[in-house]
Amino acid sequence: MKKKNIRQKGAASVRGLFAPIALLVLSAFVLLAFRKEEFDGQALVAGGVLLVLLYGSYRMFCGVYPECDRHLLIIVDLLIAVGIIVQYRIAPDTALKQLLSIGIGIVAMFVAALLFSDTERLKSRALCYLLMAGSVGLLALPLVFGDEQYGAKNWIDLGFFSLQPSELIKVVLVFVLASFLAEKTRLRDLWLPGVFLVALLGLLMLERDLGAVLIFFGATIAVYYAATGNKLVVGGGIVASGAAAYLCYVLFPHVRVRVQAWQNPWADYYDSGYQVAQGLMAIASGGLFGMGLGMGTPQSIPAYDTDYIFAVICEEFGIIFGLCVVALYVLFLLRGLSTAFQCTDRFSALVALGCTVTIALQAFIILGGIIKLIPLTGVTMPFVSYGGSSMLSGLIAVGVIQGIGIQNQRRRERGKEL
Amino acid sequence: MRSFRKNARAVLFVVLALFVALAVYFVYALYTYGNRWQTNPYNVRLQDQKSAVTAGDILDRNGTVLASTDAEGNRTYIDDKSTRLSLAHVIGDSYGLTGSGAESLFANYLLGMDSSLFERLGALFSGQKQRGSNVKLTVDAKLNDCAAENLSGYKGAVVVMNYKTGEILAMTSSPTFDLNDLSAFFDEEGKEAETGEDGALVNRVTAGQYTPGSVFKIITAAAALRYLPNAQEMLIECGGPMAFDKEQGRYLPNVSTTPEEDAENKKKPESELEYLYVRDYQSSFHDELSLTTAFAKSCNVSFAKIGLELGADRVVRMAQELGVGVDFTFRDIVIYPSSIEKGKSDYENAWMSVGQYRDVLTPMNLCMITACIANDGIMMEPKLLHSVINSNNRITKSLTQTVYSTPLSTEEAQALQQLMVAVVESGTGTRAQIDGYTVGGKTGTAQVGSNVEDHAWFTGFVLSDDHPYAITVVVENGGSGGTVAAPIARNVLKRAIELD
Repeated sequence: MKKKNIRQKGAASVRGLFAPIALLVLSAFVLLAFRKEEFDGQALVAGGVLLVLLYGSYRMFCGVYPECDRHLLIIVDLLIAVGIIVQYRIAPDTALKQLLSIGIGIVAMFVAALLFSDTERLKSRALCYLLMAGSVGLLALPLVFGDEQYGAKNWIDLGFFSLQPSELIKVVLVFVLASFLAEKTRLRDLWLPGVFLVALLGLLMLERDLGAVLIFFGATIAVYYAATGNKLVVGGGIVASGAAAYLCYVLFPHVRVRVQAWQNPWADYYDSGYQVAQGLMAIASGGLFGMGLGMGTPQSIPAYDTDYIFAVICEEFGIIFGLCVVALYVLFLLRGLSTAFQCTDRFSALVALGCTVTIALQAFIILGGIIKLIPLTGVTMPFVSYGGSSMLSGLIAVGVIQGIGIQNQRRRERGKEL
Repeated sequence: MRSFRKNARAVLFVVLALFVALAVYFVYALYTYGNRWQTNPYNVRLQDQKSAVTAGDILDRNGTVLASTDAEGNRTYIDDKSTRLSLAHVIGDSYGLTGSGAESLFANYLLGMDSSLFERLGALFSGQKQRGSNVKLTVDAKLNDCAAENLSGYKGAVVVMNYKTGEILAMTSSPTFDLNDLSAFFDEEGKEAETGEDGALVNRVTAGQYTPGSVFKIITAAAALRYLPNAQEMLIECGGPMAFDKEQGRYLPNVSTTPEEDAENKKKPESELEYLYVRDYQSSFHDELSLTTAFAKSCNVSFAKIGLELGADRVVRMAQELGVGVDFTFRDIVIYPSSIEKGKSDYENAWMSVGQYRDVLTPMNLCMITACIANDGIMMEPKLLHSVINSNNRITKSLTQTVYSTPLSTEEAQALQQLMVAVVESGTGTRAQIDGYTVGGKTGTAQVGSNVEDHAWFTGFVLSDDHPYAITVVVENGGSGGTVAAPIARNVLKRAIELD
C-alpha cells in the first residue's frame, strides 16, 4: 500500500514536467498567432491540438500502462513540441499535416507497446522470415516507382501520403537482428541476417540514401556487439566498412561531392556547399540566445523543415537551446538503455538497445552533419523533422522500448509476488 | 545477461562519446568560426539587416572616416583617392568581392547586430531606423598612403605592425582597386569576376603566398640557435657551391667545385652536368663564417649546411612553431596559411633551409615572426579592430592585446635580434638604416622562375620602446631584396616614427 503511494506521487511529479512543455507550446503559438498583421487563429488551434494530442496521449498511455517510463514520454513530447513549433513558424500547412502524422504515430506507439509488453509471443522464426522478405520488397519499391528528392530516390508517392520505406525498416532490422542474435552468436549461424543486411545496404546505396546506410550499419554493429562482445568481428567490420566507404568515395561522384562540401563548404558555395554553408550561417547568426521565433531567415536553408530543422532551431532559439535539444537525445539514450539493462531475456534487451541506439545515432548523424563534424548525409532529425514516415518509425520505436520496459516491470512484480 | 550488460555499457559509452564530441565541436566551431560564418557576405541575413539598419562608419585610428552611409543609405568612401586605393583591401567592398575586409569582418558591429535587446526595442518604438556601430580600425591612413606610395609601380605588399600590441598600423596591397568604381569586377551579366585583373582584389598581405627565399633563413637561424650547441660561436666553412648526386640528391662533401675561378668568371663549373648544386646568390663564395656573418651576407651554402646538420624535421618544427602551416583563426583578420614541406633528399632539404624548395610564406605571417623576434619571443595576435563605438557614442568594445604564443625564448629572440641588426648595419640590408635608430632586418631575393625577376623581400623592425614597429615588404619581380625592398621598409618605418 505504501509502495503504491510512492509510485503515484512519482507519477504526479513527472506529470509536473508537462508544465514547461505546455508553457513552451502556448507562448510559442500565441507569439505565432500575432506574428502577422492580422491575427492568426489557426495558430492557436494548432497549438491547442498539439497540447491535447501530447497531454492526452501521455495521460492515456500512463493510464493503460501504469508501468511505463514516463520520463521517456516527456523527452519525446518535448522534441515533438519543438518540431511542430518550428514547422508551424515556417509553413503552417506542413505543421498541420505533421499533427496528423503524430496522431497516427501515437496510435502505432500504443500498438507497439502492447505487442512488446509480452515478447515471448514475438519469438517466431516465421514472423522473422516474413518481415525480412517484406522489408526487402518494400525497400526495392522506390527504385521502381520512387521520386527523386535531394539526390536520393527513397520515396514512394501514395497520393495522399508519401512513404519512406527505409524509415520503417530500421525498426524491422533491429527486430530481425535481435531475434537471431538472441539465440545464436557464432558468425556462421548468422548468414541469413547477414544476407538480409547486405541486401538492405545494397538497396539503400542504389537509392543513394547514404544516411540510412550509416544508421543501419551503426545499429547492426551496436546490436551485434551487445549480443556477442566480439571485438574482432566488430573491428573487422568497421575496417571493412571504412574501406568500402573509401571505395565509394573513389567510385561515386555524389559521395565525393559530400566529402568536399564537408571539408570546405565555401569552396563550391553555389552548388554542393550551399546547404552546409547556409546552415552554418544560420546557426552563427542566431548567437547564444537566437534571433527570436519568427525573426530569422530560415527560408534560405534548403530542407529547412526536414533534415535541416536543427539549423532553424539554433537560428531562432539560439545555441544554448540547440545544446539543450542535443541533451534531450542524450537523455533519450540513457532512458532507453536503462530499459535494456533491466531486461531479463536477451531478445528484449537487444531490441530495446537497438531501437534506442538507432534513434540516437540518427540524431548524431544529422546534427553532426549540420555542424560540419562529419560529412552531411540527409536523414531526418528524430521526432523533430517534418515527415510522416520518420515520425511513425520514431514513435513505433518508442512504443517498442516502452513495451519492453512494461514487460520488465511486470516480470519484476511477478517475481516479487512469487 | 551479465555479458550483455557489460557489452551494452560499452555501446552506451561509445554513443555517449559521439554526443560529447558533437557538443564540444559545436561550441568550439561556433566560438572559433561563428563570427566568420555570421559576417560571411553570402549570409542573406546581412542583406536584410542592411536594408533595416543604417550601417556605421569605418574610421582609421586617428578618426579619419574611411567609409560611411549617406542619407539615401548608400555606402560612400573617403574622398582622398590615394587613401581609398591604399586601404581598399582593408576596408573591403560591400559586395564581398574582397572577402575579408572590414566591411565583412566587422559587419555584425557595423550593422548593429551586437546591439542589446533594449537598443533594438528602443529603435523599434521610436520608429527611427536603427544605426549600426562605428568601427575604428588600428590602421593609420597616412602611414598606409606612404606605404602605397613607396610600392607604386610594383606588385606586392607592405604590412606594418606594432610588435608590442599586435596592432596592424598599415596594410597595403598592390595592384589595388577603387571602391567607388567596382564595375570592372562584374561582367555583363552582373556576375562577379574571380579576383580581377592581376588579382587586384586579393589582399596580398594576408593571402599572398610567396616563396620566401632568404628571409626564411630567420627560421633556420632560430632552429640553429635552439638545437645546435654554441651556435653563436661556431664557424661554418662555406667553401663555395655544394654538390649533390643527381639520382638520389645525396650531399657529396668531398666533391670539389673550384669556387674561386667560377665565381670570378660568374660561370658554372664544368662538373655542372654531373651534379646538382646549391650555390649562393650570383655564385659568390665565402671562407669560414660565423653565424652572424653568414646571416648578414645571406650565405646560402652556410645555411644549407646548417639545415642539413639540423635535419629537416627540426627546421620544419621551428617553422611550425612560428606559425608556418597554421590556420590562424584570429577574430580580426583572415590569414591564409603559409606552408612548408620536408624534401625527400639532402638536395631538396638544403634548398628548403634557405627558403627555396616548396616553402611559401604570407607577408602577414612573416611580419608576425619578425614582430615576435623584436618582442623578445612573444608573438602577439594581429589586431585590426581598435574599438567599436555605438550609436549613443559609447565605446562598446576596445582593443585587447592578446598573446598568441611564445615560440622563442627571450635569449633566442635577442640573439636573432642581434643577427638581424647586423644585417642592416653591415650586411645585405644597409639600405634600411635610419639615423638615430637601431634597425634590424633580413633581406630576401626569392627565385621564382628562370625568365622572371626575383621577388624582393625585406622584413625588419625598429628596436625602440617608443616606436615598436615591425615591417614586412614584398615586391613581386622586384629584383634584389636589399636594393628594392629595404629602402621601401626604411621610408615607411621613418614615416611611422614621424607620425608618432
